[in-house]
Amino acid sequence: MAAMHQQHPRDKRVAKIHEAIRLGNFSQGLTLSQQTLKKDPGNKHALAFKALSLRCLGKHSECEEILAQFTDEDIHVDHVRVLEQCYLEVDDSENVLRLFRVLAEKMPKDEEMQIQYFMRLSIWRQHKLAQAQATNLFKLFKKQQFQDWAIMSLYLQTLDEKTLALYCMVLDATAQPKALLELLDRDTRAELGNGQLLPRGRDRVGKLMAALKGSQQHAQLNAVAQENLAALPDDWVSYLHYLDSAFALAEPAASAGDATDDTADEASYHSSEFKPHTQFADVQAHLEKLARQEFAKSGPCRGPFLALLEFHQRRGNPWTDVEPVLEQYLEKFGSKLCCFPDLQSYLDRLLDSGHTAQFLATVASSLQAAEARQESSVKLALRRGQERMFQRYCSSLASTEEQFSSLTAEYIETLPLGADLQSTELQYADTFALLAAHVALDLFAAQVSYTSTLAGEHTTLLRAVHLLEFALTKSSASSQLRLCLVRIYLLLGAGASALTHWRMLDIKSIQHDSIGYLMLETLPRIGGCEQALGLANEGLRFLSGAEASAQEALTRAFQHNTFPMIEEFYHMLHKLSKSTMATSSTCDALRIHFMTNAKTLTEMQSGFDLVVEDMPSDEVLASNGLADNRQFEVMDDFVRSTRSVDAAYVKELNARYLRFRCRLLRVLERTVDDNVDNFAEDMTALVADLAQVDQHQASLAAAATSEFVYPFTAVYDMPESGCKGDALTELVSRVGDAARALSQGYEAVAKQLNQRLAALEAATLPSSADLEVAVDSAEILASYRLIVLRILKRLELPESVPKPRRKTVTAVREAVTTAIATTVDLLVELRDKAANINKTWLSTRSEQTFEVQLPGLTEGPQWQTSMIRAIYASIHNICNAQVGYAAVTGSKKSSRVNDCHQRARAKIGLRDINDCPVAVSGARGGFSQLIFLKTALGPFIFALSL
Amino acid sequence: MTTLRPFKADDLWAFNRVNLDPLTETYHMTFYLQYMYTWPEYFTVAESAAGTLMAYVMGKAEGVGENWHGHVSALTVAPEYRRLGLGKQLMADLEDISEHRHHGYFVDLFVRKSNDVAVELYRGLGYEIYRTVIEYYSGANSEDAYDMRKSLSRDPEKRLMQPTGKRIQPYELEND
Repeated sequence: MAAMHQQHPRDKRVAKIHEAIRLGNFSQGLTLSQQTLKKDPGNKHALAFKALSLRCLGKHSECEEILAQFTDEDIHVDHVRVLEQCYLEVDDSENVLRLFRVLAEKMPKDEEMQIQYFMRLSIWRQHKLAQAQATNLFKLFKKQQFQDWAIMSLYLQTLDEKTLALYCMVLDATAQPKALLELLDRDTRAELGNGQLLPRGRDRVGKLMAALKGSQQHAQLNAVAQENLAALPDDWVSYLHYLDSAFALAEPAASAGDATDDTADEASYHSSEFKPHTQFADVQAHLEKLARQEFAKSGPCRGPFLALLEFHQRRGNPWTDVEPVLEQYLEKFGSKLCCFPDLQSYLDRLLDSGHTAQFLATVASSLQAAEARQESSVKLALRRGQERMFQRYCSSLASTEEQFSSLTAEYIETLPLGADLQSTELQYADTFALLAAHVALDLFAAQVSYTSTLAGEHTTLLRAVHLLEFALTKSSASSQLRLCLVRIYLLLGAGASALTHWRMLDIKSIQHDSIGYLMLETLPRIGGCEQALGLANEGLRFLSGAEASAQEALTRAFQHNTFPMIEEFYHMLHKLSKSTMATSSTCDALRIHFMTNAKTLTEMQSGFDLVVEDMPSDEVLASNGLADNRQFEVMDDFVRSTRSVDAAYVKELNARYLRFRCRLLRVLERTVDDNVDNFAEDMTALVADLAQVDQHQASLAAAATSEFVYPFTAVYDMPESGCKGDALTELVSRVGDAARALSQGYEAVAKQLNQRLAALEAATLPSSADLEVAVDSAEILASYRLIVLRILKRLELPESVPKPRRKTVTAVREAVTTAIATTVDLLVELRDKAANINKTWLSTRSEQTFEVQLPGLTEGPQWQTSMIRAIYASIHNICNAQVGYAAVTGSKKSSRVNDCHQRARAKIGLRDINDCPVAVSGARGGFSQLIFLKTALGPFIFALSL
Repeated sequence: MTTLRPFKADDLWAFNRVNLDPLTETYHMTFYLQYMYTWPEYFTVAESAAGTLMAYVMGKAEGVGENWHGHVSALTVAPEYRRLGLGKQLMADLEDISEHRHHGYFVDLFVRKSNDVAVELYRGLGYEIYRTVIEYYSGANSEDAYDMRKSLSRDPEKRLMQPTGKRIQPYELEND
């Protein structure tokens, strides 16, 4: 109850009222105050006591009526504390502060009153006003104490939600979990401010659990995690904390090294309702109970089932324990698309322990059970899709044509189930088409070797293209189908079509940095130089703008006191400014410019000048200070071995290559400028870089087996579909479309090459790049013929095919044949022309002689040839990748060079030295330098791009 | 098995499986960063046990007086994780923040008129079509948007979400 802390009133009547109230006799206080007011209606002191008596008697409305009579004019120092007490009884701080503000204004020279006002402001946490009042006090009375009060008030102003969040962050970063727990506890008790300052909810619980874990308070953590799971049974973080703490409690020996601190079990965090589980049996029983509860519900809560799997795997429990959990999970979620990614992490460990067959049998029986339950056709189809994914993931057998056909058939069969889906939704059948396409990619990879040209096996890949193009007409929103198609088009060398689909994915902004590599790394190698340059420039523009945005955000985060973001923004700035995409794009841009435009040394010099400036410094490169921001897991091929490739390892490999590429560019820049003072040192450094890459040779070779480069530029544009009728007819029609498009593409390429050859004939000195084109033309012709034959074969239908469909196919076949005839003629002409040019050019070089030596080993007559020798020797040593068209030849070669190239040819599978155009002449001069540089830089970076 | 946590700057490099959906816009960096430093509590991501981003929601608090409300700027779920209630979970989180941390009167959002699936999802969560914004979505696929609203406890009569049937121009939104 109210306690009075004021001086005894001088007025005897009022003093009696005061005494009665002080003794808790409020009725008497009311009576006395009424009597006094009757005699002296203007006695505000008595009126104030009447209000207080009413308040204490619970008569609030009557009290309020009286308080309302007190205007600012009526407020007086004699009764201010009585009025304050009236307001305090109902926590009305606003009016308390009003009382003292009014008096402070009325009595500006009264130090005591000014102090009283400051104190009220401080008590009610009006720290900003309190700071101003303290400053006012200091001005008025010149006491240092008041300045200290102002500083303290300033400090207290900072103690808000954001300050505490910052403090939490600091405690976390400095590994002070106990201090963090104490802070949370004080905030819970509202000891840090006006009520709880830190937000409630998951952020707070997350902080609490992390702090408990950090301070090894496993019992409390276990109880808190249980409590959280009771409310949020799908909260994975809570499951992890629950399991971690339970294992620490149940396996004390295992965690003996950790100083477990469960002495504070009775602390406020420990929920009395949830006792810690210290035995594995209790943990399993608890998780099984949660799973049972969720199994009975219709909701999509997967947490308990996956937590049980996690538990069994951590414990190393037998298959008999795991199987029932899988059965439950599959029954409930087997028709969901999340099924495969959910179980994928557990599968690796299951498969390692030799339970592949049992797992697949469980999946199969789950499907059978669903059929027995007569689940809807859609759900059954989705289950089959998931089963197919698991089969692919678990199988160690090679992909087959039968698999492709079977998946395609399932796709066609399932497609009608999604007839009613909206255009923005994904088709239920998509999984089958995607899997079929990946099977096609497997077949392609198995059949095509590095030295293959387009004469390799493409049939299945082309069928996959048809299937994916068709599937995208039904499910245009599927990014996985489209990404897979982009990949296949790139493998086919159909850069234009790949780019079309890439554009349809609407890749922009940060995506340039994270997944732009999917296009950038391949497009230039298949001739899409200009397009690649465009993409690279888009990416570079993004990075430049994003860096400015991140810098701005950093300052804004300070302004908004969004402290946790500040560190993230610093990290973001590093990622943007040191992005390997930027460095790689810069190298690519130069390379592309070099291969396509630079015809003179001056042009090359200007290109170097522009690009080398933008490259990271040697220090950054040497310290691996680059940030590889690529997202690798954007495309899933449902193959276990792919997952086993460590992203960090691949990124490291990329960094090493990039370092080499940058160094090479710098060396070449100096070479172009005839600055060869440090040539030997440069070469040593280059060779050292290559030696580092060499350390990763085995992995590189493994990664390289999935890369195929086809040296032709095809315009493989698919016309818009106007096909009608059943799916199979549409598919057949698509084959025709593809053939026509392919033909058009080849024709366009042939025309393009023809133009270049015509220019070449007129030129006095052809460049190596042009000669590469000449060689390509022969390969293109051979590959084109092969593909055409296969397409035509595919269009041969047995007699049993009904007439309408036969008619369609025949029409398509005729159109294809017509298109082919023209294209073949053009290509034959092109090949012959190219061969003649090549022959002529070779004859003009026949008298050139040169020596190639490693620097430091022998004195060489030409520094250019020394450098080439070093580079080629390194290439020879480090990679199984194709060296492209690069080779050094001449009519008179030293035995050393011959030997080197014999080995190189053997390794890279070049059929004949004459397959490669002459690229180097020994004569020093502008042209030889040009040729040398194109040879040294182009193929090397070209072929070694990862 | 979902972990809801604040969106981190690093997530921008990892959200492609979510953002490659044609109906999910990939904004310029300034846009994301602004949400991160101004309304971090409103930018929440759902992460799988394997650390994959499954979905995210970004929002903000805006308006004055009775128009003080939470706004859903983007809600998107990766295809593999749809029909698992993640959208509902993230919306509930955003509504909770709007209600208890910002003390808003309602939550609103814009959705393409043609996006029936999303409109039905929001209806199921208690949202009503308050009005139509003409050609709110510009560019190649320009389209009207529905302005959908759901009242919070500060609007017990649900007065502020009552459909008005109005069709307004985008610039009129600035007057709200």
